[in-house]
Amino acid sequence: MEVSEEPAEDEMAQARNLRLSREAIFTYAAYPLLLLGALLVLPLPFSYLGIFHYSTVMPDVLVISGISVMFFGAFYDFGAKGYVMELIDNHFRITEIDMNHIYKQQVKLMGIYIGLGLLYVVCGVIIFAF
Amino acid sequence: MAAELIQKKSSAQKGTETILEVKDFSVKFKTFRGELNALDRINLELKNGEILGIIGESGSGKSTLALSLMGMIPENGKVEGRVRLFGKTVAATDISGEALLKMKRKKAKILSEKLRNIRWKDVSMVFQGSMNAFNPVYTIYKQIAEVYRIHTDYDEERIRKKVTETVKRAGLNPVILNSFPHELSGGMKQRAVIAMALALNPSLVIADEPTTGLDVVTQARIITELKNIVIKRVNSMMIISHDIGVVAQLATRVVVLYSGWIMESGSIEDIYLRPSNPYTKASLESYPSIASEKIFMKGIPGTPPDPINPPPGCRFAPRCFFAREICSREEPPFAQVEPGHFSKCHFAAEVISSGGRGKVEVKDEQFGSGVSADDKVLIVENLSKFYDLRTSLAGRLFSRASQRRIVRAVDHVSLDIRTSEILGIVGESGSGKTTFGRTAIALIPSSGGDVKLKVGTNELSKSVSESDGHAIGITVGNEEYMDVTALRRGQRNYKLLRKKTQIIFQDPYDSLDPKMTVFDVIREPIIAHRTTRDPEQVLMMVRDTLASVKLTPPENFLYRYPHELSGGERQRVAAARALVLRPEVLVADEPISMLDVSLRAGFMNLLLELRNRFGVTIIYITHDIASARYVSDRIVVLYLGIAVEMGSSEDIVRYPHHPYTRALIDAVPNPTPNWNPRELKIVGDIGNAVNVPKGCRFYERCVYAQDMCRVTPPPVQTDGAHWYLCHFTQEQLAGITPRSG
Amino acid sequence: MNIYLIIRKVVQSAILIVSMAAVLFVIFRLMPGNPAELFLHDARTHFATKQELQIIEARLGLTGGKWNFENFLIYMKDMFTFNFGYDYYSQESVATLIGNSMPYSLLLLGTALALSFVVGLPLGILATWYHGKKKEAVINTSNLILNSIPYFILAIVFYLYFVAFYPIFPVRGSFSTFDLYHMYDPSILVTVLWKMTLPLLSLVLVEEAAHVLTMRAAMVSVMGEDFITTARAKGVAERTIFFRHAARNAMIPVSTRMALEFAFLTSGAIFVEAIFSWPGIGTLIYQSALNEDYPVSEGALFTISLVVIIAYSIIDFVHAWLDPRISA
Ligand SMILES: Nc1ncnc2c1ncn2[C@@H]1O[C@H](COP(=O)(O)OP(=O)(O)OP(=O)(O)O)[C@@H](O)[C@H]1O
Ligand code: SF4
Ligand code: SF4
Ligand SMILES: [Mg+2]
Repeated sequence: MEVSEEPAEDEMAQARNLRLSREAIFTYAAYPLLLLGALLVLPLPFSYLGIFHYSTVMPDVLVISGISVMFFGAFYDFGAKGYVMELIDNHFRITEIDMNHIYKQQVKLMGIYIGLGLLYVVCGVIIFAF
Repeated sequence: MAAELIQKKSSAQKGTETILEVKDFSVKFKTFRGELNALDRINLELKNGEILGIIGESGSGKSTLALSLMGMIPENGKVEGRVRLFGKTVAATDISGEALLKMKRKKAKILSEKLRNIRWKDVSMVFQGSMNAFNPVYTIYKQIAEVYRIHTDYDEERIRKKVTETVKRAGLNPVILNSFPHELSGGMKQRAVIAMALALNPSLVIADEPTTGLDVVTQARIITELKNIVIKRVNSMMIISHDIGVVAQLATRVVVLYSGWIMESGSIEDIYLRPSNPYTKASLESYPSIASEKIFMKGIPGTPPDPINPPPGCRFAPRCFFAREICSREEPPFAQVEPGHFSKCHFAAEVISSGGRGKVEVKDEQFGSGVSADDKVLIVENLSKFYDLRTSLAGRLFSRASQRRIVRAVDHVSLDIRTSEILGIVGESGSGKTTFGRTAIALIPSSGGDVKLKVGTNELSKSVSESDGHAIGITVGNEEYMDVTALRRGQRNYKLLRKKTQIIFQDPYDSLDPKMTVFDVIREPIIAHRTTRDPEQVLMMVRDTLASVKLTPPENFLYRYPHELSGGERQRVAAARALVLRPEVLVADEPISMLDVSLRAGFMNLLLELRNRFGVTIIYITHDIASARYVSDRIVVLYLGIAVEMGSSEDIVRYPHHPYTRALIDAVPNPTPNWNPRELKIVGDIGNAVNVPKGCRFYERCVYAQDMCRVTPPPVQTDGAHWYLCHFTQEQLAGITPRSG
Repeated sequence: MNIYLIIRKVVQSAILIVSMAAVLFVIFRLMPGNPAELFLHDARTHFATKQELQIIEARLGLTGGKWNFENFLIYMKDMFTFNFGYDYYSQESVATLIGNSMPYSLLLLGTALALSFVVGLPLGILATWYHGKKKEAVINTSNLILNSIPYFILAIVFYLYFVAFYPIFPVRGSFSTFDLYHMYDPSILVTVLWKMTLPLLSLVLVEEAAHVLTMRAAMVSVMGEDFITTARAKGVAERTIFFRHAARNAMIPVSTRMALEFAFLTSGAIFVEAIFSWPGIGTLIYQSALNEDYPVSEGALFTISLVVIIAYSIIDFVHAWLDPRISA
């Protein structure tokens, strides 16, 4: 028997799955955002104490972190390997379409991380211009 | 019918030419530890039209023999004697791996050329582990076409036509030709391998373990396929297997190998009905069969000999029930006992006339005894385990919205397990057996349902002291139970649960820490549960347990490391570790599947004995129905997470009711000569427990399926103790014309 | 190949390049001292005035301190427009310097890489082919020894022997950047090749040994696979088994190592070029490091890393082509 395409879930379930998938993307995007917040706020007290110069050092730090975020987004697989292993363990048939979807999601997240990295850089530039 | 045809065919051609002649043939491998005698003075003949079966356990030299026939002895192999195939010498002292290595360039080239011309055209091979028989970087087409490129001078177009024809004949869709090997399922790959073996219509096909590693259903299909090939397409075949049942279905003549020796050879009836060698006899009697009465299997004690230092005299002597003094002194002769029936034993004549090893009837002491239907140790209600792949972040991210990602590994299974019974759980791979075993004793958390484990009065620490306020203690009838599914790790009663339930894993090589001695391994649970601190008492407990799993004398084993033990001994150590705290329930997850065949019966007997002596309840998980029937009192059949049928093991095997169980039982090979497998009434392969049909879970593979089955879940059909899940009674099923598989 | 996968790989390389530029920025600024002072001091013009210092700082991109953010932005812009500033000494544009030496490096590296493959892979296969014979032992031991020698040691030995003691190969002089573009002239071609022999040998001998060893190990493991036994049983000639069935599979692990080997080779080339005064980027880096000539070092390192990363991505695609099973 040729294994047929798995039947589609009904519309409501699909909508839910789509929501879950979006939420997952937001969750992944939240980490670098939180980190950015922390990076911006945490050194404030120290700079207040005069230990270092916020507006000169922070741009560098932010840009370097921004590039790191981009780097991470480009090279981390976002758990794809583990997910594929899970599929195999559970006797799923992995098709081209599945792989394509996985790559697509990765590219999406990579784009988001690059965008967030740029946000770091922009923050750096703004602080510098201040 | 198939067997008759084979018979007819072979008798028609019998006695014609000898196509294979093996004379005083020995193969010795050079290894680091010394010279390993893989085959020792083998004599063998194969006449045109015969189907020769070769039986032997792992390491007996089966594959070495097969390779020799193709002139492919490895480079560290030294040869004495010779093998002649179609009148051409393919292996001899000067035609071996080692000889080729030492030979002059030119001469070696001429010789290899000669050997290569014989290969595949005259004799082709289906290899052990066909999963890897294809080169992963080339398409299937390229690899089958290669055969034609080498041995014919067809042009490209003709080759393409031939290849397509070949795979079509093997029942495969030609589209697979453009696939890479990793894109095919196990069964498809095996078919493609067979197709390739038949591409040039060879006169002899050698099949080395052609079904090992496949599910029973696929195995039965491949056997049928091979059978058809013998009838329609090739003259002779050699079928090599450790599985007596597989060989019985195909062979007309059988050779039994043990540690490089031919112990016995003769017609299939000679071997299976009138064995004249103690090894053959013991092997036959250690093979669980579902066709015959359930009889006690004695098993074969000990382990196969070290191939580098075989024992003096008869190599089987240390394990032989017939052995006398002379056996460990003198090598037995390979002598004829009846016309065409040879045996390597000092007492062949006596063995053949002695009949069975004294058949032992089913006795209550050995099998199920005094199990009361009312005394339940474990009550499982609607137990479910769903894996939602969307629970993990990556799962949500990478699953396509249109696809289900909930695996119903175990789906609302309800059953009672009686005190001191052995309950067999059978099913194909992917049916949820392991998950059921583990959720039932809360080794992994369940997703729903209840499991209650019987406890003694006052054994539970009272529920009020439990932090989360769950009532753990429940009274059913007059008995106290604990609610296993409500237990949480860290609670006091959780420890009690762990102590009362234990598990033995499939792989004895993985489940023991290589850095711990046997003593440490078995002591571990005693320490963890703080049963006793007294070192004297610990030692005593460990020794007693070792003795109870038949590792005697215990002193010999206490301070050994796992790598110093054989597979069977390791599995016994694993059993000892599970048993040292005297659990009530023991889950044995495929405990024999990794063991050598000659050791399996011994381990099954051990399980029976442990139950009888200690009253431990055993959940025996297996894909091998015959072994489940041997050890268990009742059997439950799982299919994609659902229990589809349950009954006493005799009922399940003799009167299977559910269409799935019927197919499974029909697929089990049988160790009787010329046994005719019934036509398999099942469609396709087991899928995954994801997109389960709304109605009957078996709908897509059922040959009796009707429209209502698709949408309505079937009810339970029952006649008391034996029940199954189907819309139809047995009489109704008999009235439905099955669609073809 | 999947379009998304290609996008990802390309973007990965791009980000790698950006990150690398940033890393270089940090590394060079973590070095002690003020390059501007150093410059003035080393250039031995005269004692620097404050104004002069500022002018120089501006030119070196150091206005307002090393870590000044504006400098970083300028730096990044400069890097990606190949505007690496000027040599402290000759005042030549670094881009020109690199442009002049790059072809030499590419010539040396490319030839070394190609030769080491052309020699190493077949030798690795041959070592397996002659399994159990004397030839195998010879191939194995010689390559084991070669592989354990660092490039520069071999280069120094060659230098001592063939340049210092027995001056067979010319090293210095009579060689201009111009020559490379006139290689169609046979006499110049011979000069270039003659001069290249020693650095090339130092690189190839060591690099080829690495390929022999990996290839042999991969071949041995592939030859034990079931599909090889099957091919043999099919009557496939031993030669075809080796070169078609086994070698192709053995190339997969080798190609994963290729990227790494290329990086090794590049780093080795820096020393080897310097030792033999081969007018490539390696010599440039070596000289600039000795002179603490930051702009040149920065520019040259950036360029060389760029080359390595591009090579990496190409290798990645080759790998995917070799192994149909490749996935996430
Ligand atoms: N090339 C080799 N070098 C050294 N020993 C070998 C070699 N090939 C096989 N042997 C040894 O020879 C003996 C017989 O091996 P063989 O593979 O023929 O057994 P088998 O009956 O096919 O077993 P299995 O059921 O595990 O396939 C074993 O002890 C094995 O370890
Ligand atoms: S010769 Fe002796 S030990 Fe060997 S099989 Fe016969 S009886 Fe057993
Ligand atoms: S309910 Fe229908 S599909 Fe299911 S087993 Fe019975 S006949 Fe087959
Ligand atoms: Mg074998």
